Parts: sequence; C-alpha cells; structure tokens
Amino acid sequence: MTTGLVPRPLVILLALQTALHESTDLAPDADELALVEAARRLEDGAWQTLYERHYPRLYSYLYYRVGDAEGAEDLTAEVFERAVRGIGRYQQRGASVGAWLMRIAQNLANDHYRRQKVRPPDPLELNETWFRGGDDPAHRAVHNESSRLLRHALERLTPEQRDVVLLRFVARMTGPEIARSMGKTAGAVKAIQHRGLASLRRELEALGYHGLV
Amino acid sequence: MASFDDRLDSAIDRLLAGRPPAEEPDMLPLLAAAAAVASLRAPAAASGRSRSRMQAALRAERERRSSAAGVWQRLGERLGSPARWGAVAAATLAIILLFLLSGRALPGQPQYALKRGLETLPLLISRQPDAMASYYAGLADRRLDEVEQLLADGQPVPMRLLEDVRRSWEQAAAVAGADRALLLPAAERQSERLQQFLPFFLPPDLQVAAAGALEAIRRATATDTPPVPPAPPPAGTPTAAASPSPTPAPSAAVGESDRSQDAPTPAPAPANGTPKRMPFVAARTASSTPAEVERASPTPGSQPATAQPPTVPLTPTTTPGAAPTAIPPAPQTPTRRPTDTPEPSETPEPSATARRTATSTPRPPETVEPTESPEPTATRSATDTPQPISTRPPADTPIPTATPEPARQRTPTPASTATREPSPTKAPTHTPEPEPSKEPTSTPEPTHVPDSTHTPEPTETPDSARSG
Repeated sequence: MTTGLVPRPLVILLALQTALHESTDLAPDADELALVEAARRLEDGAWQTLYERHYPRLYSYLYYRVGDAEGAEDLTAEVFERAVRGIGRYQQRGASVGAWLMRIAQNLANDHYRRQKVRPPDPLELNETWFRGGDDPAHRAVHNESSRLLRHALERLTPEQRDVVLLRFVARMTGPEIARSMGKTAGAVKAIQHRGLASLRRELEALGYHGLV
Repeated sequence: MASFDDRLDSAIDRLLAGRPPAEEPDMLPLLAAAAAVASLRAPAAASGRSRSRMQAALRAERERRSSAAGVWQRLGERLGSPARWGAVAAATLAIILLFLLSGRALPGQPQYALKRGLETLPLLISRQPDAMASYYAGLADRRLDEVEQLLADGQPVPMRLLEDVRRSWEQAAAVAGADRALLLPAAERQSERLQQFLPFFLPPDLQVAAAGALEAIRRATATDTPPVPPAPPPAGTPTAAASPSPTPAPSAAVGESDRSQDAPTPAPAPANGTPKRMPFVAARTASSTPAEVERASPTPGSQPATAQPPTVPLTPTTTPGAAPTAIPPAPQTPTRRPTDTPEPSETPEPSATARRTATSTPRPPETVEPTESPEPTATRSATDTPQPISTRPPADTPIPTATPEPARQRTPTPASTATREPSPTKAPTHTPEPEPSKEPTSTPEPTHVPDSTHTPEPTETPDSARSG
C-alpha cells in the first residue's frame, strides 16, 4: 500500500531514522538553563557545547536559504559571533537557545539577500557533496537527484511557505517557535505549513519525484 | 474536534519524533512530502572557520566586558526591553517619592520606619566626627519636631521620641571632638524648645524624659566648658530651677544663661500642670520675646508685682514630682509662698539667693533683681530706703523665728509694692528723711530748722552742740 508519492512503510522508516540521527528537542530544559548561564559568563566549554549542539541545524537551514556551502558557513559563524555578543540580552521566555540562534540565522539570511541583492540560489546549481546514507555511489547519486528535485520544489513555494517548511523540517523548530520567530499566530503557521506541504507535493509530482531513497 | 491543520501538525510532531503518525489517508501524502524535506542534508562544512571565529568573538567579548564602558552596556543588556527600563524608572521614582513623603512621617505612620531607616544612611557613609555629631544633633531636632507635631495634632507622644533625643545627644557627645562649637546652635535651640514649651504640653511622665534629654544636651555641650553641671536629680533639686531663679548665670551649660531668664516665663501656661493643646507657634513667639512674656505672664521679675516676689526659687521644692526640674511651676508658688516663707526649712534656698544678691551689692541689691525684669520697678524699690533694713534679715533669717520674719520677708515685697506705680509718689512723702535729722536736733522746732538752716542757725547750733 502506498500513499501518494511515498510508500507508508518508508515514511515510518524515515521517521525512525531521523529520530536516531538528530535531536529534535529545542525546548529549554534544566541542563540548557545551566548551559546558558555558563554561556553568559563566556565560558569556553559552554559555547563549545552550544556550537556542537546547534551548528548542524543552523548550517542546514542557511545552506538551503542561501544555496552556497561557503556562504552558509560564513553566516553560521556570524550567528555564533552575534550570539556571543548578545547572550546578555537573551531572555529565556519559553524559547530555547536553539530557537534564539535560529532566529538570528533567519535575520542573517534575510539580510543576506537584502545586502548583496543576490537572487535566491538556483536549486539546480546546488551541489550535494555530503550524504548521511553512506559512501555507496548509487545511494549518493539517488540522494543527490532527490535533493535537487526537492530544492527545486521548495523554490517554487512562496517565501512564507518555504520558510515555514525549512524551519519546521530542516531547522526542526516547533510550531509555536516558528510562530514567535515569524510574528504570527500558531494557527496561522499551521495553516501555512499545510498549504506549503500541499504545494510541495504538487511540485514534486510535477517534477517527477519518485521517492526518497 | 481538532481541525485538519492541528491534526496534521500533531502528526508531523510524531513523525519528527520518530513515532508512527496517525493513519489518516488524506494526511499521508502531506506527511510523505514532509518526510522528503526532512531527509534533506546539507553538505558538510569544509573548514572549521565557524568555530575559530566564535572563539575570537569570545575573547573580544571578554575584553569588552572588562572595560568600563562595558559595564554600562551590560547594564543595558540586563535591563533589556523598554518595559524593563520603564519598570526600573518607575521603581526609582517610587523610592524617591517615598523618601520625600517619609520626611514628614510621624510615629505610627507606615512611612515612619522608612524615615528612621533612611536617617541612618548618612551615618553609614560619614566618617568625620564633627559631621556625625552635627548629624546626631539634627536627628534630635527632628525628634523634637515630631513631638511638637504630635502635640499639635492632639496625638499621644511616645516616650521613645524624647528618649531618642537624649540618645542622639549622647551619641553626638560620644563622637564629637574637643570643639563642640558646632553643636552649640542646635543645643541652644533644642534646650529652648525643651525648656520653654514642651513642659507645658507634656504629661508628667514625658517631662521626665524631656528633662533627661535636656541634661544630655547640657552634657554634650558642657564638656568643652570646664565645669560639668551636675546631673539634675529628678525631684527636688531645682537644677532647672536655676533657670527659674531670676538670678542670672546659673552654672548650667551653654545657652542656659539665656534660657534661665526665659525659662520661668512659661510659668503662666501650666494650668494645674495638665498638658494643654496649644499652638506652638504662639508659645514660641511668646517665649521668644521675653518682654512680652513678662507682661503676659508673671515672670519672676514680674511676680513681685503680684506681691510675692523673691521667694520664687523656693517653689521648686514644693513641686511634687520629678518633673519640676524642667517645669517652672511658678503659678503654684505664688499662692504657697506666704505660708511657706515663714517656715525656716524652706527658706534656706531663697535666702541663699537673697544672700547672693545681698552680698553682691551691699544695700538693697536684691532690689536689683527686679531690674532684670524690664520694668523699672527695681529702681523704685531702691528708693524705698527702709528696705535696706529688710535686706539684712535674709542673712539673719536662720535666727529670727516667727515674729520678725514676716516683716522681713515682706521686705522684699515692698519692692513689689513699690512696683505699684501709685506708691512711688507717696513713698517720698512717707519717707521723709527728716526723721533721721530729727534725732540730732533736740532743739525745738526742729523741722523748720533744717529747712531754714542758713544764717540764723549758727547761733543756735552751739546750743545744740552743747546739748549733744
């Protein structure tokens, strides 16, 4: 039994794989509170932990926003620079440090387009060089093709839909966190998410997307 | 029933959490698209520039924080939003307002504790003995203000206020240096307040405390001056009576000499010793001008006019309680004097005062006392030459018992009688010195002789000389 584009077992498998490889928890906990306090004191260890914990999501999000690995790395470094300078202003009001860092990344990505007046990246020009699935050339080739189509489909979404989808599935932010960072209600974000996924599915079908792996 | 958006969002949460989403056929295509996006992986960053840049930012931030400017910047960061700034500003304003309002707080009011607490702050800061001593004196002034205000409002006065006055002066004396000149103005002012009007409005128990405060002021300011006035025993000994006594210069502390003259002035007010509620303004003005006070109230100088003057100092002994030191119980004394004066036991003190005056000026010097009172009656008493005789008796008072004394003790009263304006005119007529002249002249028509003693008399004088 298949549902649309993806067979249902694969969806479940993908979900399990995601859970194994990444922590999706962005909510603040006791450990993070202590970490933030240490970060306020500019302790090296605390900032190293924050870096290790949040760098992948930040980088991925920025990569799909700017379409350039080097540019994404520069922007990610700038996110941490700003975080070091602004940790004194960080207020833990329900939002985690991850959400706060992601908010900085969003602003940087928006400013990046405004400052350099560059167009969004052409998904067809993006070059995937890394794939978690392994070193199998066949797998890498499939993944690269799938990724290219996905990025292409994402570019066809409205900026608002694209941002919500990236924040939700790449940056792994929760609905309320996205709502807070975008200045919208949680209901509005859910609606945008629904429309964005529906549009993405249509775009993928139009592009001839046949599956994930 | 949750909307589709809500159910989809919950299913996505489960998917991203690694749990199987709910089986809703219309939702699965959307979840498949979501899973496809979630599987995207960005290429790995080639270099470790991000980490090194973050570490450089950490070093720069540490340096910035160590600078002075960074302190204010961090304060701004801590406060953060404008709402916080507003809250801080409002709190500061509230504290300032509270501080200002607490300045007028009285015991029993909620702000009073704050007022007293704030008063201690300068003492924590200051390290200069003179400044601290002056501040302590100022605190005593404030306590007296509060006492006055409570009395004016008709509220009970806590005893601790007057005890605080005493304590403040003790502390001022403890911290003050050798030079107490800085304390003199406050000491003078507060002594005046304590002596002049507080006794009339304070209940007896508080008057004891007031006397203690007064004594503390004396001690604080008198250490500089050689003699330390003895502590006033509460009841009989009229150390404060030194002030009531018309004679000047009681040994007391600075400012007491002035006050000693004014102190008796309050005597009129004490109606049966019960505290009255009177406007202090009036009390002050009355006390401030001694002349007016004397007119309005029977001061020791003016008391003679009432017919029993010099025995005034005795009165303190008759006053019952401990308060008398501060209280000039003049009103009671006049009535008792006539009866008390004959008794020898009570007379000694007045006699002492009388002796002083008598010794200082040979003749009717005690009559000089009235001179202290602005009224010129004293001169008249001097004109009453017969009194010199009476002035001596005070010295003799120990010996004479009953009969002579009344006359002698009245002798001062002649001064008072003399104060009556009508009498002076008669006095010269009544006191025709001719009498002494009569004595030598045994010749007939003596009265005329002295008058016309010019030429004819020489002839007669040999007779008289022979007869003499």
